[in-house]
Amino acid sequence: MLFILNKLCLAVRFVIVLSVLCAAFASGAYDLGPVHVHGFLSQGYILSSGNEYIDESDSGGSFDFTQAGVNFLYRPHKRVILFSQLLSRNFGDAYSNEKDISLDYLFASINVYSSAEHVFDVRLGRIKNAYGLLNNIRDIPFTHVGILSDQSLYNEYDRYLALYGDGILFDYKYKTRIGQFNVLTELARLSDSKKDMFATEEYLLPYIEDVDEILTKSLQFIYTSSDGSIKLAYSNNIFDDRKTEIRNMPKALSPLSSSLPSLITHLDVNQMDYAENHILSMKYSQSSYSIMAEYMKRKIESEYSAFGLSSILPDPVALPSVKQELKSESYYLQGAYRFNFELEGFVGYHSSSRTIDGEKINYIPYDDYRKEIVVGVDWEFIENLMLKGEVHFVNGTYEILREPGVNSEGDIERKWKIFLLQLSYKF
Amino acid sequence: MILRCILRKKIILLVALVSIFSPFANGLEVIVNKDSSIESIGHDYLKAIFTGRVKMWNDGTPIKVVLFSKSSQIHRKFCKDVLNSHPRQVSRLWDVVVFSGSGEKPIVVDNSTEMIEKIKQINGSIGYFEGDIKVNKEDFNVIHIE
Repeated sequence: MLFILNKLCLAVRFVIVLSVLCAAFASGAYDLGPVHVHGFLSQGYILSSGNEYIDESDSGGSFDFTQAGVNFLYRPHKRVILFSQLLSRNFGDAYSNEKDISLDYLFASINVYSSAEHVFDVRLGRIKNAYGLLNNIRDIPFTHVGILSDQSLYNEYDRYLALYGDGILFDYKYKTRIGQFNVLTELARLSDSKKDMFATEEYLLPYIEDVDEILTKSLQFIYTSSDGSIKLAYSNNIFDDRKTEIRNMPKALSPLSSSLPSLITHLDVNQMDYAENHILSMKYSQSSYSIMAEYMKRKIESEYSAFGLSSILPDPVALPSVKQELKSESYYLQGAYRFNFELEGFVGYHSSSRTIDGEKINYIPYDDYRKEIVVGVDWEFIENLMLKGEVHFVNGTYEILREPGVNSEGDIERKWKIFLLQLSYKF
Repeated sequence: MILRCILRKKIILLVALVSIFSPFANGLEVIVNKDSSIESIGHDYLKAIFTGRVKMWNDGTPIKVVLFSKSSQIHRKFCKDVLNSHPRQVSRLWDVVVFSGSGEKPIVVDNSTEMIEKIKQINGSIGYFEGDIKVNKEDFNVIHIE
């Protein structure tokens, strides 16, 4: 009963907020003099069967999927634009979130050179990482088909890695008769928030003493045909060494635990990570339909240097260091058809898999792969108000929620389903 | 008889050429601010402007796109006949521009009078209207679509 009341309260709260916003912005976007303001608000409902996708989604469904954003644009000079977006996002308790308002981006875009053939811009500040075709719009419901239909590449587990960085991005465009060639290069510092970095491993937080900041280097090539119907892209992202010092961690929490003597109960660990992505993207659009596909190959190298017995002995015992290489492959192929001005349907196939040191891994059953078919519709039933719905038929539990008592070995199911609804408004 | 046949073919060819190069194709005219030196524009370039892919004129002036509201018949006609795109597709492309922080949202107007007023006032602006309404053509430049 209490559970149903909670859900009702959430739904009512959402409707009130939405109504107020609709009324406030009924006339469209605000132009505060030279400052342009736009925004969006969305509320989702997630129901899963078989396994838990986010908080209690398998027992009555969850409304813990709320996103809201407001963005500002100011042009102080014809060649300079200041862009900013604030974002608030709740996607359950287990994942990286921006429940409080976070700065999604804030940068100056400076046009250094512009001619009939060449355009050269520089972006400086907090920028969205050049990562695939959808990273910079992944949280905005109106900018892509479906709700979570691109999760195979833009998943919740490494959200903080992909999202944004503080740094500089060079954007060069070369326009030819056959289309536009675009090269983006980025150097940025990722968030140094421990909470962001270890959002999916929160159990480690009490033991983490220090984390080095991560630098990301990205290179992206984009080709767009002259009529805009074909878009091809290659992205390469390197996330430099992240050094993490973990102190006095219970042995059971370490991946080394099974190979350690029983005398050792706690560990000090120095962990170093290096990650690299290669992403190929393709989009083909015609008036009534679009086809989109992306493929990502990722490598994460980790090295653990552990020390045992630090809580007992003045000089802890050095344990052999362990190297680990995690490789993952993800891709999706998705087709969308526009039935009329209001309604668009889509179907997609998504796949992700991983190995560690060339071996399949099974922390929990079916954990090394995930394949899913997604079917859904987007319905803009009133201008700027959109209802989306989609169903995922999933095989495998790769990157499923892992917490004590949640999706535990005895309960987990290989084949499961996720149903999502999302109502969104933009101004 | 043969002469008449040749004459008919020439007339058909002439009509086809006029309809391709005329600004009045589909009854729609693409217009720019009076200060613009642009007289003609390629179809692909026009599409790139009206979908937010090109954001500056060659002289560095920011492009200000003016559109009719997306539910209006004229906008749907413009998207379909001139841009060869679905209005929904065009709307999404502009949302990407706005929310990814890559450009300015187009100005949206409700009628042709408002459209022409915006084009007249704003430097670097580009818009469209149905060519069969009475307007003062000294307020803007009509450009040819190649």
